[in-house]
Amino acid sequence: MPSTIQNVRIVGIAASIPQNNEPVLESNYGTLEERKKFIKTTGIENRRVSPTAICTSDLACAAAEKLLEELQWDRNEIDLLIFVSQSPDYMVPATAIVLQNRLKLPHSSAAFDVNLGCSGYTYGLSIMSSMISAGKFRKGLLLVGDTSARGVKLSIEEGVAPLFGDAATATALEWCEDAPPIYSDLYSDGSGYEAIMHFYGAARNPFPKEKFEYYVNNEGNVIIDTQFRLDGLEIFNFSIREVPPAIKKILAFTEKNIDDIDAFLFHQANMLMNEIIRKNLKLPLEKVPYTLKEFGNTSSATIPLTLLHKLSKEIQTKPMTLLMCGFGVGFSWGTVLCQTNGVVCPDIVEL
Amino acid sequence: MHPDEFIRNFADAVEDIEPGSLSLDTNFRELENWSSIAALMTLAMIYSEYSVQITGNELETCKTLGDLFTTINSKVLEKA
Repeated sequence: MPSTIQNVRIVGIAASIPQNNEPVLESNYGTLEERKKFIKTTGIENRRVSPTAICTSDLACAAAEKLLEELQWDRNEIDLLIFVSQSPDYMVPATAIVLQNRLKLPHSSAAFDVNLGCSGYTYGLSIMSSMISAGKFRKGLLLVGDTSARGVKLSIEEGVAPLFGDAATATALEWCEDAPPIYSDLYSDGSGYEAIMHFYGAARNPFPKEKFEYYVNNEGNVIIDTQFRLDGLEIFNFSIREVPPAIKKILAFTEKNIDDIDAFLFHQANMLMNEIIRKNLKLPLEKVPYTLKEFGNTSSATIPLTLLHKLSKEIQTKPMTLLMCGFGVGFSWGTVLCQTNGVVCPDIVEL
Repeated sequence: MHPDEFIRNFADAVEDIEPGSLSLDTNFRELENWSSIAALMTLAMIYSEYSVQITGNELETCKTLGDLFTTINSKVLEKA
């Protein structure tokens, strides 16, 4: 059910991406024709790909440092740190706790991880703003992102396409008594759990040694079992089925219509799917910013990265009513409708 | 829903195919242009033209364009 979260303000947003850009056209994915077709369908032309030395936590840390510097926050006043990612540093402990120390936050801050990808920003915003709204926490840092592109071998036979880019963002939220309400609505449907999956490595299927090795299957394709699995068709069906009603529901709940929203920020999955959703909802293109061309799909970071890349001037200088929708892994999806005013947006940091 | 129209829509979705070279007997998986992206484009076309969703498994069980046509048709009728 949609809910209303009072007394929380989005203070600032920062992002960090790897310096290394890998244009899809120059990648070793398929033939030139196949790459052109891929770009035409997905809208993805460039991706930032981390070297193995840079983990999601490193990007998140750089974004958080930049944001804290810009905000001039006293680190001792931060009492909540949430890290939303599917690429943590370790199985155990949670990366947020490691980051508490790296960011020199006080021991009095609560820190934990949330295991989510494409829906992660809307989930993260809802979780953190609800916790602050409840009164116990005052200042929080929400770190989201993934390094889904790092170390992945592209293979057209196995459908491992250059969809993903690496990025992480930091969002600062604080208790603010006269802040306009944040509306949020979260969903899940675990029957789709196999559609986006890391099959090996945790308790159900521990890593068997041979799964790290490449082998050639019956069709002559080179395969490694431990890479990320995606079922593109099921993800497509899920997204076009669930996203439009979720947008309509939060609009109805807040008694707003399309004209009241300054920008619709969708998770950047791929152009084909996102455009079907946009057209289904009859949203004007100018209200639906895209950054697929520049960054590809950066998992939970797509929404804040798109905000920074496309609308940083607007959200810094004037009140903006934003409707965000993250959707993907699990399946899980969520919407957040909020009004921002004067959000601090430092330049995107390149690592 | 007419088969000729469906074949034209399919050819448009997959791109660079002459609709005249296709029939309901065509095994679409053996087409030179068939790929995971073509599969996605096909599902997108089915959704926007016929307002029904075909699952990955349903697509998997279709061998020919005729099979796909029948699957879509039964969903359209189910919905009506």
